[in-house]
Amino acid sequence: MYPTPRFLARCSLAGVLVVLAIVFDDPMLLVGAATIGGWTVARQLAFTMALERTVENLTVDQTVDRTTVRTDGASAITLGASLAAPSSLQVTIGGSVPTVATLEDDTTPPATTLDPGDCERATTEPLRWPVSGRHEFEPATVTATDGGLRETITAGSRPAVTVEPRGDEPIHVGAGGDRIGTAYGQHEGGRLGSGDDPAEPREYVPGDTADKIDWKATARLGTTYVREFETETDRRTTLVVDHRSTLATGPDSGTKFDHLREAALSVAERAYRAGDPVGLVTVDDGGVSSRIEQTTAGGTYRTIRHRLLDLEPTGTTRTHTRRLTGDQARTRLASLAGGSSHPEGEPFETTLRPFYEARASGTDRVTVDSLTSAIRATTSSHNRGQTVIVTDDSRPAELRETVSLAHSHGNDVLVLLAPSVLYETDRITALEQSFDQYVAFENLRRDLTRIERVTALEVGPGDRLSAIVDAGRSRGDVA
Amino acid sequence: MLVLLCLSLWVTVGPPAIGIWLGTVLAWYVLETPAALAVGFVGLAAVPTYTLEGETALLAPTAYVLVALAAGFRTPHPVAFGVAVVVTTSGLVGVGWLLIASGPGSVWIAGLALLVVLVWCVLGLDRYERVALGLLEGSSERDEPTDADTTTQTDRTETDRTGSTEL
Repeated sequence: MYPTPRFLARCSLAGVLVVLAIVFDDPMLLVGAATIGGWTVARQLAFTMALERTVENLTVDQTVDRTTVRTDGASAITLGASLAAPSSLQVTIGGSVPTVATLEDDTTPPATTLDPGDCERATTEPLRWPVSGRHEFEPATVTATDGGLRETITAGSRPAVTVEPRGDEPIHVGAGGDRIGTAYGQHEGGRLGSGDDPAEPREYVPGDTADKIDWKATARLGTTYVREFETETDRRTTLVVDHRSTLATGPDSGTKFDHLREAALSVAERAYRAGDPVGLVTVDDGGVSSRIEQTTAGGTYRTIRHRLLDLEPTGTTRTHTRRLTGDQARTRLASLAGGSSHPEGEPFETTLRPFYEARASGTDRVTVDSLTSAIRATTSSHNRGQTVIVTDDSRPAELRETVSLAHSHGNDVLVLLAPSVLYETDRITALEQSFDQYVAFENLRRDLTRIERVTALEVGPGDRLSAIVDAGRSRGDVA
Repeated sequence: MLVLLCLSLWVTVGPPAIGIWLGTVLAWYVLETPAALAVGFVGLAAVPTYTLEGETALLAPTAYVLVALAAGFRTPHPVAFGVAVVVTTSGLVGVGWLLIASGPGSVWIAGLALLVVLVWCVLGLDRYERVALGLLEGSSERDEPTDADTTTQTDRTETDRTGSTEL
């Protein structure tokens, strides 16, 4: 235990009296020193007994709301202290913050004080984690004092936070919190007939032509076998990518659109590898921002890939834009034509004009007011195949109408949906509340999946989804 | 308590008791018990006619022990406090009396012995507290501030930013 200077000064009066007793040779002053000594020891004993009882009754709890965050992610530490019975001591509990964590808004490390008579206190402080790694908190520091003596001990758990680097951020694609088992976009031909890929041989039946007989299998097996080939099929895939302003929600390097773009790129790549024609329609707040017709050409796939990589949600700025849009090309073409005084055009203008003209005719902006209108304006009922709708759940009614329209054309429909609840930047939101929002999203997704030939999948950050589903599971709402 | 103290002083030293009593009360009110005890005993020692000999000589010192006991009423363990005051005071007085009785001119030896015993009691109780709380085993790892009253919130901000990190 440690005395305060005030307490120490009072106890030292015993020493003063001893000195005076020696100086004046008066034993009465020694009696005074002994009485002050008695008071000192008694006060020390009373503090020790009160401290022991306080420590027995004290429960200190240090918890973090998220044990796994991404680099630069936020979490909150809650420091709680409770006493089974009130204490006569003032108890101050101070939480520690790992050196790598930063406190937001210049706040101090979490600390709370139980005044004499108090039984429970808690405080929460937000933290940000800029450095990846596993960071463990030190136990809380408990300081008890009666005003004259003070003791400091450590208590409470040592929570740890794992900060994962951004580069390894897994994107969850699945349904109901579970990842899908097969790659989305995979499909089989399913028919036998003419083609290049041989199927299993089967026994000859009357009616099979002689050119289908597999003579090697017949000789090997002793009975007549015919060989069939799988029919090659093309599934036309149209990616309808929503990049309206609501898709910009989320942390800087993990917005809804960032994750949906990765999923869309994956679908486009698989379609290209399968030899399926793939096309792209992008929709922003102003309408259809670009459209690329379905082809199997590698150049078109690369154009789609570049277009998706350059795409940003409406209202966000991008420092380096590689692609010149059709609108921009038309604007620059107009300014190029207006600024020229030379009858045949300046050499500079002559050089640039073909480039801008080519770009200006490349994109046809169609002004529509919804994703449904965009589907109606850009897809044809003659081109049956697969429509992949890439959007979020912020407009459920419009989404249902859009899926219904895409489905009515006879297409298979794959809906890649970003649940808004997974991208809330307010990290303090209770997980239970987030789980309720996720349940609402899941109901929407299931409604869409119930439609024949429609598959709806969720796309989002896996760690956040796991945390929400775990919260629901602990509440008993998830089997 | 104050009335009892006043009567005891009056019986022991007579009219000077008023001044001693007023000084004691004032010190008690402003500086708490130890200062009141110091003022009271210095006052008694300052009275030329007062000695420890005589039937009523011990009345005033006993009244001051009661003053020390009164401080324990506000603690959660008043009985333990009272026992500690009586036992410690008696023990210290006994040690001093033994050494003074052993020979003339030995007040300084008794004074030093009294301080040594007092410090031994204080350190012993401190060790008991550390053992009871289990602080001795990890005492070398603890970061103990040396002065509570100078520890500010700003200091906490710096010292509490600890924790282990595995990168």
